[in-house]
Amino acid sequence: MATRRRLIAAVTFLAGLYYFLEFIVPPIIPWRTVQGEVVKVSSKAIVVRRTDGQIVSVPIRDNIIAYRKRPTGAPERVEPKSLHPGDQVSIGPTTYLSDWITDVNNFFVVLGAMAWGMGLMSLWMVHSANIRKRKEEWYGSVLFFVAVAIGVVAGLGYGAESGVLKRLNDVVVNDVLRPMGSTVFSLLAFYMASAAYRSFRLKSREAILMMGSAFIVMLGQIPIGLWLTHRLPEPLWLPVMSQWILYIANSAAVRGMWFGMMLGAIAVGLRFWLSLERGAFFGKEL
Amino acid sequence: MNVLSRLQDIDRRWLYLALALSCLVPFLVTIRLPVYVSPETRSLYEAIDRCPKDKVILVDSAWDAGSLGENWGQVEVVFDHMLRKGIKFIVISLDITPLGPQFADKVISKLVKTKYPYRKYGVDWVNLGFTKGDWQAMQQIAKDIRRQFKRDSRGWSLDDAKHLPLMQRVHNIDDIYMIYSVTYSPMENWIPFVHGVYGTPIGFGCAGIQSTTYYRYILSKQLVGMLVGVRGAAEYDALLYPNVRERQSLGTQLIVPQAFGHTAIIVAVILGNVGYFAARKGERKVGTRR
Repeated sequence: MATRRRLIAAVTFLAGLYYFLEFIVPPIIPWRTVQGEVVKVSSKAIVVRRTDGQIVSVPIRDNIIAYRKRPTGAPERVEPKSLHPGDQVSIGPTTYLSDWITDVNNFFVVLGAMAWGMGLMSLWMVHSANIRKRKEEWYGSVLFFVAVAIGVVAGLGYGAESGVLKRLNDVVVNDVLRPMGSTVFSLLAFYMASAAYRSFRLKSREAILMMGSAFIVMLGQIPIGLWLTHRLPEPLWLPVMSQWILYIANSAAVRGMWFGMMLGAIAVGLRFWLSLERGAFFGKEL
Repeated sequence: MNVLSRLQDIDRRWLYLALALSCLVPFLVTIRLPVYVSPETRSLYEAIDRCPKDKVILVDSAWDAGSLGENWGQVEVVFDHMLRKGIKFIVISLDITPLGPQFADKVISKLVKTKYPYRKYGVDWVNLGFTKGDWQAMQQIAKDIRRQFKRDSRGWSLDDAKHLPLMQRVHNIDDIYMIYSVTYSPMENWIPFVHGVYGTPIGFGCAGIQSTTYYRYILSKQLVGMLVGVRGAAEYDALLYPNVRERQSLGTQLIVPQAFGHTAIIVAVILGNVGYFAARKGERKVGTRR
């Protein structure tokens, strides 16, 4: 058990270390980077005029990479031989970290996709146990398996031009999922109305301020707000006041909130990276 | 307890009925209300309108039935704009829901059938389907779109010039003018990983309740514009069709019921507070008598 925990911690650390290094370490070895304007391109070397005016010849080898500056200022990696005179470049030996980013990204994309499969497996185990042990409302678990089977078969029809599978796909997505999904989310409107009616009471100055800005923003979002105030000067139109609240007051508050949240996220991320968290996988810190 | 104080104890079923009726009436009676076009909608419209002929717009349409009421209208008006002007676009669905491509297909096919029968799949637009990956996928798409998508949603290879002529001139972020991400809560990673690195303009279409977190990006010009809920779709429709009788998008259809629904909630909150203060006044009078 301790070996497994240590293995998980080691893999977690290495994965995080790669992304951290790939972010902070430049793609080209800094003290051997040549920056400047391309003067001449040949099959064996790139001649660059550096920013201090010096002309340098960089031999083309397998470990040499080049970054050309786009018109927007962002760098793009190009083959050294595809450079042209006049290009602004940074050229030199690679640190190899960025070379692997595509493969590492692909690995994590696959890992993320596996999480979907794990979710399905987990549901399978729970619902099959319900049916096997005839737990309360076990027939719901039978319906779950029937729905999964129908969904899988219907999914095969996506992208088809015609046929039974396409018709099944259209029925499942347009006539079942779409109205059911919309219905479930529509229920929120009634819950919110009831909750707002019961809980929004003007019990303090802060509550009055919150209620006032909520009314202005709610009315500013709908045409009725403009209809009510369009005869007033434009700064007093409800949509205009609503925009001020959202752009100025709200943005300031959200920026402060997110700044704090991101600092917390960095702290939590560091704890996960260094496996300092206690939780489902770790009985104690390593 | 006086009559007014009972206003704070209205049975919730009456509230549900009032809300349902207030949202239903505009569907039965045609009511037209003026639409105020917000700055974020106008700037998104102008950004899309400026798209050069040799570039495409990437639309990340990652929504499904749950947020259909808000997101359908937001993609519908933008697709309408692009199909009308002949702006080529590519649809993807990144990470959130595998049903995204199908809903986007439904919106586009309805527009093509009713308004733009001369627009062809593969020539004017391509749907690459769903992919997973968050910021990793965004990086891949920016560097080389074929690293993330080998085939489109119909199974044709991206190098198939016969079925997908549009894709023969789209390889990486240099060929993409702008990215428009529409979902309940668009991923902010588009901003640091694409806009921050390549300078590509990003626009969002989001649910109204999520929009408050994105206004700060518009102020800092990291987002070029945003459509906020049903209101954003109705405003964009107003820019596309100055004549109100020509507007048919879902956003325009839903903005009036939404207006009545909001009004019903505001009236309910006011009634609740009237009842609350009446009850408090009654309690104080009773306390004085004692």
